[in-house]
Amino acid sequence: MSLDFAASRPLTLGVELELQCLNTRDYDLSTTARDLLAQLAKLPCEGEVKPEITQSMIELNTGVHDRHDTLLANLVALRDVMVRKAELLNVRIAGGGTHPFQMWSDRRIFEGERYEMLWKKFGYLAKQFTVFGLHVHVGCADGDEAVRLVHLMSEHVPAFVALSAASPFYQDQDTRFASSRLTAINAFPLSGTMPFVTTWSEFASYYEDMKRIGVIESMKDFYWDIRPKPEFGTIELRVCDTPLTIEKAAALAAYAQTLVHAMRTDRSLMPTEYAYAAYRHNRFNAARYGLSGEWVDVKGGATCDLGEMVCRTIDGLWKQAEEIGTTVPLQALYRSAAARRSDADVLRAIYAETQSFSDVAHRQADIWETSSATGAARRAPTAR
Amino acid sequence: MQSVLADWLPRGIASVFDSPLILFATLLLVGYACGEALTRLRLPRMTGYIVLGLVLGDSVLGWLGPEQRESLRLFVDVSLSLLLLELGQRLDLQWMRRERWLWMMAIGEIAFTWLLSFTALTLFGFTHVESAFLGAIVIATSPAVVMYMARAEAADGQVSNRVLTLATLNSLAAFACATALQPFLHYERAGGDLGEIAHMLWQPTYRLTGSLMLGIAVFLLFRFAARWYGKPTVAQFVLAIGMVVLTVGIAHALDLSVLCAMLVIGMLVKNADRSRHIRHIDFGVTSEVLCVILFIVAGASAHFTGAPAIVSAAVVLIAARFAAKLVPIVAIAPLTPLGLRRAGLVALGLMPLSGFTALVLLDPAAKAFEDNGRLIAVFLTAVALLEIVGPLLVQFAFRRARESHGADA
Repeated sequence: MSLDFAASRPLTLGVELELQCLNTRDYDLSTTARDLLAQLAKLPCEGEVKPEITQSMIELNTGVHDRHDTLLANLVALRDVMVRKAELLNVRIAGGGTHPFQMWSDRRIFEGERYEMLWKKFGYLAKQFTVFGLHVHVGCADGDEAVRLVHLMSEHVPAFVALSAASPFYQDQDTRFASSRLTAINAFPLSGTMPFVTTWSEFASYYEDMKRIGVIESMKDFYWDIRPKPEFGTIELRVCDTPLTIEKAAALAAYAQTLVHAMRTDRSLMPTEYAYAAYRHNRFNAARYGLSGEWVDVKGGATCDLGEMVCRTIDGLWKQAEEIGTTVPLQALYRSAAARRSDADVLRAIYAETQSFSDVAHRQADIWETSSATGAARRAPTAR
Repeated sequence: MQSVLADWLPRGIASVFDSPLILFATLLLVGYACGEALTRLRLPRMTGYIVLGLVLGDSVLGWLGPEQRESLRLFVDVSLSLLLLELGQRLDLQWMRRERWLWMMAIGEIAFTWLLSFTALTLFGFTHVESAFLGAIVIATSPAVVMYMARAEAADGQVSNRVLTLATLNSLAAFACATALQPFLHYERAGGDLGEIAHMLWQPTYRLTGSLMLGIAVFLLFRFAARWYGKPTVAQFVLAIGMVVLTVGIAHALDLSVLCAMLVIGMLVKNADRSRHIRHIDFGVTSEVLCVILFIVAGASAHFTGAPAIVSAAVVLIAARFAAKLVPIVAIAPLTPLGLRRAGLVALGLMPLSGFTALVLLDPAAKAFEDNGRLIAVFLTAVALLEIVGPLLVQFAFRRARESHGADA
């Protein structure tokens, strides 16, 4: 049976956010995801809350949206209800790509067949995978378009890494990376990039081969930075750290949507294998230095830093942004890129002030819970 | 111990047991081995310490008598205080403000426990005032046992968090009620002589307010020093140990309650240090070393009477106490995220009754029970039984709730 691509409405948006469950004692990760999930079984808004590989993680999924503003409203509603329920359990929820001082050996695998299988298969990597990412889905008309967009978007993967970087601390240490989370993903055998196939039938054939020889069981086994998601009819960008705020998460989704819109409009843009020549170099620099990292443009051979690369890209997208209503989030990202300032810098500044990773985690929760335009979460009455 | 050994050991060798250090080392090594043996049977380590203490103590061999226990008092007090400090920090008033049913649970289980214990003790033949006083002591869940078990099991979840919160609250309530009831006990004892009452009222008022003031004063000093030191772990660790020993010393010197003062410090650290100058300290290995001695001495201090009638009456008292904790918690559970099954586990987790707490609270009133030997034996046997069974119940509760993650779990 061939792998079918379920077509979806082009440019529709959806977001998955992996979040940290913290105790209020010392702000280490808690093992309360199960309790929180039970509280969130029925949601008063669109979306879903799911378990993740360890019991200290929880995943929030939005519904499908055409526009950034409705996506943001959905995220705020989900965040607020999650925070209110967590309060009843004495748990805090936080963004950020890593927890600053948790120890991977303390983590517990979530009950469930798939998670048990991953623990058996990957050993300690499964527990080290307690890192927190933002996955952005953008709808595609068909499989061929999805394959084309995956390749074209790859050029922008380092920009997304740098813009979202929010994991400078890991296992009680400053890693000197802006995004140390990516390193945890690099260890998996099927991480990296999709092979250079140019049509959906080629991809389906590759997929079937991998399945036949027993390397994979499903699409979930590909831990690529960006991959097609045939069951949703989307491409899924998986390199972003979970940002510190809801707004940043929605803005990154809006940036991806605008880029896809531009790529769909300009049909002359075609993927080339050569575009991957500097991929790992650029991606490493983005993870290591964030927006100040060097970016090599393989097409022109020039170099600049990623902040400049993002500003230049956004400068070329204002028209498309206006068409799909993403001007405001792009302006926010532009300011961040121009200042070369990501969430990793925010976290380092908090540590410089407090000299305590526990305080950093505490502040991560404060920022996450109160960041929205409404700021409703912490002030809302405690309704059940 | 030395008197028994002196009969067959050469002169000079037996005398080494006079040394508190050698006594400490021997108990530490033998106690830890007993604890280790029990963990291999998947039983709580601390039960090994308590059982060893029971065997060595007054109830069986009498080797670890009052004199030896007194020589270990500093270790015991510091150990208990570290656990109390940690437990106090688990009382999160912000959480209780949001999860208001937790207050109702606390009030319900405290009131019911007192009421049912009072009724049971009155039926056993204690006077109303005696029953009221002993009922107040029965309210308290052993703070040391639940805190130690939570740490040993690395328990994290709704059952363990609620057990620790309720234990802190019921320990404070027990201390306040028992202290407040002491004048009435003495008044009854003095044959209703009103001339004594003014004098008797002074002592509990002094202990209650003094212990509270001591807790507040040490917390303010602690926060000031922590602010000056900054966040380095070692500095904060040394500071915390220093504050604990200082509190114990002052409480002893001024005849105040270590239990109350340490819980107050812990609560203030958690709830009143808004700028988080005091960092969370894990006393870990240091605390474990001291806990071996703490629980051996606790076991040795237990008074167990094996007569079937007394044991039966003690079991009835324990059953009444369990029912009293279970009913209000289960009744309120549907209004909380807890659910009925886990509410039952919370009630089980609250069962440990501390021999220390009982003795500390009983001590000022001990004279009142002098001619009540048989009845007090029922009470102390119930305490001793719960000292053995308590840790097992807490372990069961945490494990059945799937909240145990520690190395011993």
